[in-house]
Amino acid sequence: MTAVPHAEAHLTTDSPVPLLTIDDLHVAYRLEGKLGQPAVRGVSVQVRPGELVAVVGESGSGKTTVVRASLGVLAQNAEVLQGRISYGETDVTKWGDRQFAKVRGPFVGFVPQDPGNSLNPVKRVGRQLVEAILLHDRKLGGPVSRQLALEKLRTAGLTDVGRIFDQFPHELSGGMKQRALIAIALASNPELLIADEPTSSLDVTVQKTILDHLDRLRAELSLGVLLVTHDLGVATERADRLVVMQAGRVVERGPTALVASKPREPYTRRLLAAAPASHNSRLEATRPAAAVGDEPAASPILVTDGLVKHFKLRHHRGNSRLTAVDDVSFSIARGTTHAIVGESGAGKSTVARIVFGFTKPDAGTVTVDGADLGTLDRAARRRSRRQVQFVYQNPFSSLDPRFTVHRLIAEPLQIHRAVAGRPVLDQRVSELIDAVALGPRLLRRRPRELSGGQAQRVAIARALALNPKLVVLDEAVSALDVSVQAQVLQLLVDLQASLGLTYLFITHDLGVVRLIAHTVSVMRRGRIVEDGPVGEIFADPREKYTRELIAAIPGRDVSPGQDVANAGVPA
Amino acid sequence: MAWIRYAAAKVGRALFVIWAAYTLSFVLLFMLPVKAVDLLFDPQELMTISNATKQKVAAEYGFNKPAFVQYGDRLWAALHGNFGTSVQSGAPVWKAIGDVFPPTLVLAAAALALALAISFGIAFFAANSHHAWLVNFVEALPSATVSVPVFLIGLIAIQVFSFDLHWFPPLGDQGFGSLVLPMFTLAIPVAGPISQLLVNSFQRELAAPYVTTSLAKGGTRSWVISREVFRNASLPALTIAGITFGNILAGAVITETIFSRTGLGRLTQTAVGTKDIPVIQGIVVLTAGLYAITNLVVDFIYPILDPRLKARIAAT
Amino acid sequence: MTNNNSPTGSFSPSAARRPKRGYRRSRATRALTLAGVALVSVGVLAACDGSSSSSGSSSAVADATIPPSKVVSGASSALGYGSTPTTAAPVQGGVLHFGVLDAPEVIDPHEAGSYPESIIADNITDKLTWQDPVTGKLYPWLAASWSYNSSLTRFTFQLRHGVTFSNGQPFNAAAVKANFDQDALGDTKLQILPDPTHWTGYAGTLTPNPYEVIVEFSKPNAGFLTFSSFSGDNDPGFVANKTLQSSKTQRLIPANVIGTGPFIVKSFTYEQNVVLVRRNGYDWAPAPLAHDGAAYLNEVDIQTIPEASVRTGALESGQLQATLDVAPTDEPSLKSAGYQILYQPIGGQNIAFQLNADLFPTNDVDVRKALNLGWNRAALFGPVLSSSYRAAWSVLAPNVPGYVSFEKSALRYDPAAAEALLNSDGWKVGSGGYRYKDGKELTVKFLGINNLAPNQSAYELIQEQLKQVGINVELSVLPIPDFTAQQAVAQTKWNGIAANTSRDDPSVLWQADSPAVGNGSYVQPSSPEDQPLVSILQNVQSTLDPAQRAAATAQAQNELIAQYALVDPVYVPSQVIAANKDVHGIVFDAQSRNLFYDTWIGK
Repeated sequence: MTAVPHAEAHLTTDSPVPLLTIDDLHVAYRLEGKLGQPAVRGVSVQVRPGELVAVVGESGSGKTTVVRASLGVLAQNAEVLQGRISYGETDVTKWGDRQFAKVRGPFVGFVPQDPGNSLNPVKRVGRQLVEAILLHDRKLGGPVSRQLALEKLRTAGLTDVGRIFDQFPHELSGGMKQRALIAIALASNPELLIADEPTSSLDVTVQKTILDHLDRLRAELSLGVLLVTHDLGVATERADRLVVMQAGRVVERGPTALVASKPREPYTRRLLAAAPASHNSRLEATRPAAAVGDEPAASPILVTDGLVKHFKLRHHRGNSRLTAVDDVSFSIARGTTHAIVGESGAGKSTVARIVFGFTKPDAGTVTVDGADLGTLDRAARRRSRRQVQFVYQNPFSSLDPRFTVHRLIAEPLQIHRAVAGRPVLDQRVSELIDAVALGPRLLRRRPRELSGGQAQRVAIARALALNPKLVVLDEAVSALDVSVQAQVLQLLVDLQASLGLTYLFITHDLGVVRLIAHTVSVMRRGRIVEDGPVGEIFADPREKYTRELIAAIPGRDVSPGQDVANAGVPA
Repeated sequence: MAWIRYAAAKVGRALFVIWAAYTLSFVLLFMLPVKAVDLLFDPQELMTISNATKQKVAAEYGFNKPAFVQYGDRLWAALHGNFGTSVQSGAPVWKAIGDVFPPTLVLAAAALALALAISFGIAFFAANSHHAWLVNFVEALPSATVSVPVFLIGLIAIQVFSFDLHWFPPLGDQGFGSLVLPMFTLAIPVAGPISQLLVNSFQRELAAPYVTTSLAKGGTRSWVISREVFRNASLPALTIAGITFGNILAGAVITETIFSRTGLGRLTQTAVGTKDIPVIQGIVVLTAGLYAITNLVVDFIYPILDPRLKARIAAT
Repeated sequence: MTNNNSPTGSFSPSAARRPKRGYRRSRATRALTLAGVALVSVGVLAACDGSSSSSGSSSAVADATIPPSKVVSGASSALGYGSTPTTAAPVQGGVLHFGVLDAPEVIDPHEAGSYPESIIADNITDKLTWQDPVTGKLYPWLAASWSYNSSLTRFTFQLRHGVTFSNGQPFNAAAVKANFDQDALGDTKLQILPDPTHWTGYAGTLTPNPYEVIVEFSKPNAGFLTFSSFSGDNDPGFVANKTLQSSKTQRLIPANVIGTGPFIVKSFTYEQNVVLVRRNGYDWAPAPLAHDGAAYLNEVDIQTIPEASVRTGALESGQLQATLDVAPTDEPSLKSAGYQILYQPIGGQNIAFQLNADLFPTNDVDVRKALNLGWNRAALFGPVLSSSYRAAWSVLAPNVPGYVSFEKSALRYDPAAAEALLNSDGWKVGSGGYRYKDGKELTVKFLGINNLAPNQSAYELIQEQLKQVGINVELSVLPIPDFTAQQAVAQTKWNGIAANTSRDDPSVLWQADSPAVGNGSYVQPSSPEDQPLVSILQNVQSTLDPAQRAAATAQAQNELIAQYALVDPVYVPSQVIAANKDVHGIVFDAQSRNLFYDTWIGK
């Protein structure tokens, strides 16, 4: 892995003209005829040849608008109020669509965020790439452009390019699609590359590969790269310079090592503190631990043994069987957090569903607090639901948009008739809303009036309503911004301490595992590759796959040994 | 293999629809309060006709066999292409329909082509235009076209372009000149739902991420609209092919009446008005068949145009 | 005075149409058009029209206020009313483009039911006799002379020599017999329906020699003589053997339809047009018509145009020279634009409600009389009818021989008398304005057909006026097939059933009203009206002595209207044609069907 270059050095020598200069940019959107508040206020960014500038910000920071402005693809209702954008020495602020179209491709390439939707679904991949080439070099003939396209695909890191050329986007995996998009971005040999969250929807190992590849290309082709991301780990690991944005403004900027080690602004500090990579150990509870109950602490809450689940697939080559879960066994001690970590397709969500009782395993047993789920009758199974609760990844799809927060939290209590009478119900609801650190005013609101973090807290409150023994959290913090993620994780830790909860935490993010879990199972393709206490796994991974996963955590070596979380005083 | 299964399922469904339409029409017509034989005579003279005469005539036409037998006979004959003869004119039903069908087909095809042109024009314009007021105006057009009644458009068109300006003939079905006014009259309500769909569809596609990719690789906005968005945004229009067909047929009834054109629409109106049962049944079967074929064609074309659907079918 | 009410752009109503066998369409624009009629007619069809002052005046044989058109050779004025006189000489040749509302379904004269179908039939075939539309007198046509026995069961016709069908087949007694047999008895194998109504009691035709036929009946049939000239549906025109042997389906092909008439069908395009072409060599027109020899026109192109405004527009823009089915609201503007409005009231039984004598409350003769006295027939002119129509002062049209007017008597407008009748009958006015007796409301249910445009409005006017005397009229105006369905149950459901019958002969009363035949009023054998009615209508059917027949016809009308009030006449329908000023010589026959034999187009 390339070491982070010292960006400062570049600045002091006679630096070449920056490829991209954004100078005091103000952009606002027009809604129903009126200009709203500016989404971008006075942002300035520069990218020089060969350097990678990372723009870091959470949702709503305005970074997407900056990207679109720098490409000239702002929406129809966006207006540049003030400021200047230049490519090299040319001021392109007032350029029209045609002018931009000429340089998009040969001068600047764009790698988009969502590979799933960023390719035209009804055109073959090869054809889309050939179009990118031919748009700027019409004279090329058919076979020549095809050869060129195949070459680009190879450069982007794909193998078996001949087959991929003829395939449709939906026939490729996420990583392959992203590489194809990189190929398209580089089709006309640009000097500047703008990448907008290029890896945020990819598995962590794939992410690493792609970012490595981008680094290589950057070195080979002397590309300037503007990388926009919300992932501080990625930013600190790869960028020469950091630009931190919040609410449309640049809050802090500078060489990465400097900003990462000595952040000046509180926001920057908060971001850095929140990044999982900056932590070495589990979060600590800020609330006092509850008194231990009467049950013997020794018996585990959950024991799974030999779980197996097959799915039948039908396709044109006949039927085949997919083994989603293959002989999975683990146990969770009372009051602890067990993480199951793996990449997409590992089978971890299937395990979660089996534990919760949504899916019946084809083989194996699930024992919750001593009771084998498979042997229970309907009534008993229903009762057992009260003991195990579920929190989903996306709070906005798991909360009924029509319900008020009060009703959402009250619903499990009403379904299971757990409380008698409205006053008791209300009392319980306000206890719960309190427990997740939300104010009672929110009880009247509906999910769409809440932020992502607030909504997920509501989901957690709902999960706690019936005093479950075990809470299954399936990627429960993956959809949240970094700082919010940190807060929610802290909340979970606090609740575990004060209520004596046990968690089964499903995630793809090893960094999060380190923050919250006591024990971990690493899954790959349905099987458990390695398991054990978190500290041991991280310190001394036995399996190769585990090692790859750990190595792929972005930003691991930014501050080894330096516990940045404790560096500054949190706000 | 999956394709064979898919094709068989679709064709089977189409056949079922046609058979069900035939049977339903038979049942409904059979339940009319008026006796079929009474409709053959002048109502004024009905009272003077003896029952014996009526029985004789009814026997000749087969009206007094039990319902099931009549259904069976007719269905069997229908499968051989014989739908009986028109009660009013005596012409064989297939011939009565066959004679009037081509002009309707010509009118429908022309109107459809024009409607598509109008719809795409509106959608393109709305997608491309920079002036908000213009876009608002254009986006209000589809609802306007659906609200204005066909006959009003037709009558005004005849008055202005035919009687006042003498540009086009007001009636008949000879030559292209007589097709122009009916074509426009019919195209307008047909274009309504299509253009509504397309405007939405274009907007949705334009907001899709792949549009950004295409712009980023060097396409101008109009390149992207015509080379990428156009095709993807048009696909949903196929799904309302059935509704469109229905609109055309309904509009054809009125258009053909106003413009005195021969056609299936007018035949339908006359047959229903006089309860000419064999002709009505023939028309019902034909219409059901056309619907079924339209949907069948769409079922086969769509996967070809949208590879995601093709893959989904192959995987079932 | 002329008020240019522009018909196009507003929705002119569908024009007057004959009741035709089979098809009628209820049109999408109907509600709107009738609303348009109501709104526009009021105030426009005002007294500025000359003959509205004659509203209420009966138009008897010759209307004094409107000068008769050119009197042609012979004693009849067969050109109807309203044509522009000319002294120019007829022009040979040309094509008449003639517009109609309904598309002919068939061209077979035997199957002809609708108006356009009758027009085609009457121009391609001839009958034995010709009836003067005004006087009712019969003239020789294909029959040179005729006689009948005293019991009116045998009619002998001497046929004219030298007549041929257009395919060369000679017209003779065998042809007459073959036609009459098929007319009366039908041929179900060829899908040809019999016509029992007009041929009641047919016992066969004898052909003693090639130019003499004897038609025999089992019962007296006075109406048969005029029936030999009848031009309405199922008329007795003659077709060649080739046609007689063709099936109904085959008779859709022009080549298979062969008559003796002045025109031949050249082409038949369904829903578009029927083209008639002159038959050269025709030389046996009836004497009362204007000329001899072949017709003047080369061709007649009868075009179907369903939409009224397009029809009048086509006339105004020159695509048509004349058009049928002109609505009352269109007449004034066409007239003021210089077009001729040609019309003739239709001989037969008028548009009238047959009152159901077997159903409460119309089983009470006082109620029936009140229904006749309680509304003003003259009030229809203006709002509903134009001057091309006539008020119905009897059950018969004014030009039917034997017509008697009840304008001053049983059909006068006398609401006070109506109320007195009802009061003394025990009908007291209730709180809602309607009358009650023994707890039952005086409600009559009327059923009508919506085929003629004035119908709905006329019936609604009646409803409105009868409400003033406390009678609640519930109205249902339906398309023909629905009307036919209701007719089957009318005896127990409807108090008044409205229709009309075209037939310029008193027999029409026997056909429609005799309890022994049509029994339109459901007279029961046990009721006092039964015997008198049967016998008087039988008398009408049993004598051809002019004085006796006239007396019987008068008595029949008296019984039907004044004495038993079984019929409530509404109006006399007319056939109305609009023609440009160059068209001359369109003939209206006794049933107001049109012949184009005398028609020519000036330069």
